[in-house]
Order: sequence, then C-alpha cells, then structure tokens
Amino acid sequence: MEQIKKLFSAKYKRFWLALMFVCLIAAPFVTSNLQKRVMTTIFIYCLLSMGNMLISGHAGMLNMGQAAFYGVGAYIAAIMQLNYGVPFILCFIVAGLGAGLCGFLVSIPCLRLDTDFLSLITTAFSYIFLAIVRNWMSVTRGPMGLTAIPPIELFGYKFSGATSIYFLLLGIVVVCYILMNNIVNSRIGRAIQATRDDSIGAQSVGVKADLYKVLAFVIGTTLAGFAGALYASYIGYISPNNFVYDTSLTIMQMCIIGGLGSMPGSIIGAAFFVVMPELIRPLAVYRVGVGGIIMIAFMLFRPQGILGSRAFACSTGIQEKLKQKHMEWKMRKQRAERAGEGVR
Amino acid sequence: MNTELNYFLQTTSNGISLGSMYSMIAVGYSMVYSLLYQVNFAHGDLYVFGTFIAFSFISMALPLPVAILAAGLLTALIGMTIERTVYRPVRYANRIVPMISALGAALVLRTAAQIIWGPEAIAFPQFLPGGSFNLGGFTLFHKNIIVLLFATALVVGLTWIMNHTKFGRATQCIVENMEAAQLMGIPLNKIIPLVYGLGGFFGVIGGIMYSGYYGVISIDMGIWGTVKAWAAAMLGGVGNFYGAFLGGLILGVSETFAGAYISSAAKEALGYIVIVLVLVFRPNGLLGKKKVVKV
Repeated sequence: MEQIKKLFSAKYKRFWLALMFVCLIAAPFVTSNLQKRVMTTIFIYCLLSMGNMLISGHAGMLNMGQAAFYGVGAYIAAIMQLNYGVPFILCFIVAGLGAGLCGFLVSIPCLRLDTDFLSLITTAFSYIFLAIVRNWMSVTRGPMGLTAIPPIELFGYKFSGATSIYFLLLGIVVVCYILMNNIVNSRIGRAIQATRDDSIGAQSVGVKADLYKVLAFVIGTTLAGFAGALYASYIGYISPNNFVYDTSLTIMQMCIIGGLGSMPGSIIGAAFFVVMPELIRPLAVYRVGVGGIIMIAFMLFRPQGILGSRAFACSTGIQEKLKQKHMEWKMRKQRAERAGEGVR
Repeated sequence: MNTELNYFLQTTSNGISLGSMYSMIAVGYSMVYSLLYQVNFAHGDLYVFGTFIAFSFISMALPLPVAILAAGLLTALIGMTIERTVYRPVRYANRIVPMISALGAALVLRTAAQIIWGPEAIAFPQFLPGGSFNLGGFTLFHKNIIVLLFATALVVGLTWIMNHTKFGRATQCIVENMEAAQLMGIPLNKIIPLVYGLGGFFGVIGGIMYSGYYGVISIDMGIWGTVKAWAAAMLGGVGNFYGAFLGGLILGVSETFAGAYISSAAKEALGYIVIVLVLVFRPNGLLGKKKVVKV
C-alpha cells in the first residue's frame, strides 16, 4: 500500500505525465474509428467543463446555461461559414468572442444576485436562447438545424480524417488546460477564489469582486464558444437539440463529479460522463436510470467528487465514514496493545 | 361585446388558470426549497410520477377523490424515501452535492415511469366539469374558476399549517436554525422527511389538475415542471407561499399573453424574460425578504 502511494507522489509526477502523453499520442493508431470519435467528444466536453469549472468551481457561480453559450458559439461559426464563407480560424475566434459577449451580458444582472437566483438567470438564458434558435427560421432554420458545415480547414490543410481532428482537438485542449491552470494559479485565479470564499473579505483587502466575477464568466463562456465552433465543424450538422437544458446539466455534473475547484477534475468528469453512457448502452431502456443510480452512489460515496477538496464534503459520505471506522479500529488496537504492555 | 375585449378576457382567464397550476406545483417546491435551500431537481419527476400513479388509479375505475388521495399519499411516500436515501446522507455536505444526487433520483424516477407507462404522451381523463358561465358574450368556463379556487385554497391552507400547527412551527424553527432546533428537541429526522412528503403530495395535486385541465400526461413534463416550479418559487420569493402563488400566476399570465398576442414562439421566451427583469430589479424575488449580509 505504502509503495503504491509512493508511486503517485509528486516525485513521479513528470513520469506519469509523460506516460499519459505517450498513451494519448499513440491512442489513435491503435483504436477504432468509434473510439476515436468518443475521445474527440471527450475533448470537446473538456473545453466546456473547464469553462464551467472556472465559473462554477472557482468563482462559485452555478452556471446552468453552459450549453446555451456552447450553442451561441456553434451557431455563430456555422452561420459565418455557410452564409459568408469566412475561413475557419476567423469563425473560431469570433465564436469565442460572441459567446464571451453573451456571457458578459448575462453576468451583469448576476452581480446583484446570489447563488440560486444566478443559476435561475442562466437557466432562463438557456431557454431564451433555445426559443430564439427554434423560431428564427430565416437564419437558424429552426428545428431542422444547419447542415453541410464544411470541415475544419487551417492554413490550407483540411482536417477531415478522424485522426487529424483528434490531434487538433488534443492540441487545443492541452493549450487551453495550460492557460486555464495558469489563470487559476495566478493573481486573477486567487482573486476569483477569494471572491467565492468570502466576497466582503476579498473586497476589504482590495480585490474588485464584481470585476473578477465578470471576468471568470467571460473566460468560461469564451471557452464554451470555442467548443461550439469546433463541434459545428467536426460534426457538420447542428440543431437546437444539441444545446438543450439537459446538456447544461450534464456539463454541470461533469464539474461536480470531477470535483469542484479542480481543473484536472473537469477533464476526468468529462471523460466519465462521455464514456459511462457508451458503456451502459446495451442496457437500452434502463440506461438513464442506471446512470442516475451511478450518480447517486458516487455522490454518497465521495461527495466532493473525484479530485475535489474535502471542504465541499464536510464529514459526510461513505468513504469518510469508512476512514473514521478505520481510525477508530486502529486506536482501539493501539490502546489494547498498550494495555497488554502494562500487564506484562 | 367587443371581440377585442372578449379575446383579452379569454386570454386573461386562460393565463390565470395556467398560472394557478404553475403555482400549485411551485408551492410544493417552495416548501421543500425553503427548508434546506437545496435546488430540488427531483420535484418535477416526482410529481409526474405521482400523476401517472393517479392515472393508473383512475383507469382502474377508482372514485376520483380516492384516486387523487391515494396517488398523493404514495408520492409522499416516494418523496420520503428519496429524502432518506438521497438527501440525508449528504445533508451537511456542500449544497451542490444534494442537487446532483437529486438529479440522479430524478433520472431513476423518469426511467421507472418510462418503463411502466411508456415514453409517449398519454390522454388523461378530463375530470374537471365542462360547463361555463355566459357573462355578456364572454364565456367563463367552470374549470377555470375551479383551478383558481383550488390553488388559492392550497396556498391558504399550507400557510395556515405552517403558522398554526406544531408541525409547521417546528419546520419554521428548522428553517431559522437547524442546530438550535435540534437542541430544543425538535426531531429533525421526522420533520424533514414529512416536509418532503408534503411537498410531493401538493406537487401531485398540481400535476393532476394540470393533466386534468389539458387532458395529457407525458414523462417530458418532469424537467419542464422542475424548471417552471423553481422559476415561479424564486420569482415570488423564497419561503413565502403567497410569493410562490404570485410567481406562478405571473409566469402563467405572461406566457399566455405572449402566446396570444405575439406568437406561439414567444411563449416560452417571454416567461423567462419576465423572470430576468424581475430578478434584476428585485434580487430576492417579489415578496422575498432582503437578506442581511453579515461579515
């Protein structure tokens, strides 16, 4: 046990990272097309959940409308490419900025509200977005969706094969992860977290709480916009059904299962929620219910998520109780030993 | 009578009926929500499940009041079970945790309903009386009045229970301060499941009214109902049943007016736009008390 723990200590971190990268780079050469598609989907959801993690985990504002920002990005990119033939790279940037602008507009009323009212506003935005997209026939073609979106083309190279898209998205996710991690560990990230933990306290030491809340929202939603642009070009077809409220809830679940306030957690959560439905697909009708049971069991066993901090869990959760039982047992054993020594 | 005016009155009465049904579902939600401040994602699926149970009872030719009561009690039991298995183990964790486990419970309920009653929308017996008054060219249906009366009675009754019974006062103590309430000898683990059960019970009554009014029931109403109930409860202000009632009415009336005067497309959106506007100007809801932030 001790030796296994040692293997995962900080000393070997670089080794594990290197191993992971080797696996990720080797993966597309040994996997089937379906598996490559699943992994590409994970990468897209990684972008979404990392954005949501910054908003919900680090800034503490429960964002239940991430799918709507995702949709804004996807529709902006698709419409620009289909109607005006703009090159992908420009669409990508504009989609991110557009979603970020929406995030900015949504976050302004949110400054006056706390927690649940804020999630209600983002929920409302999500439904308003859906209503607009479903009914603005001339631009978004309503429920029929936009078809024949050209594949990603960068500097004359067409990313049409599954492997090439895999590598492109892997690169984007790695870059975004490094950026987000640096943001979280920089002054900005610390200010955002301080605002979450104690807004008044943070303000009293000179942190502009409102500014950092808005900033976290804009950064997080911009990532969602990027993910939307990538998704639109990757699948080639978007419809309002891709951006419904359930998708927002799934993204929120990814963050919570991964562990709120942990960037690597968001990636693990995304992988969990993309892979799990694929694995339990043979259960057919029972699929959704089994997914629900897995979620409940997960929350009961480890309330703080896979990589979350214990601060989110208090002294609840089966895992914590087992730990306590183990400690009690150890203490009792020690006491018995000591008593035995006394007798001798 | 002027046709314009007639249309306006008709829309108003329809809106108020829809609003009353929203408020019936929202009152149950508000009750549970004000207790522990947990966004209860299972509420919608719970009441839809209960309405399905009522549907089964009614099609088994049970008398209507018995069917409604039995379905309500069964749902209350399910609500208590959910509280015991899903909420209580994580009660003291971060408030986001119960939200996700509730979502899991909602998925389980949805799947169970889908397996038992099938995924398609089913015709629900329209048990509300079909007669109408004629007020100078404007027809007011009996069922519009009945739904509104029912919702009002529910809200007044619940408020009375909360203010005048031992159970209600114990609930208020828990809302005020959970630890102190426990120290005063209030049995936390009896009161909280009861509140969850009562919330489910009143949710089912709202659901049965809705299905009886429109004559349809489907499992898609679950997440929709959760969001509507949540929105109405927050709009009116948390922890105040009159607030939930008012919020539901505003939501229903604004949606119906948008559907009648702008377009059916605007129906969904306008309700949410109203919510955003109200919350921007009154961040604690219409009747909500302003929270004092302590340092």
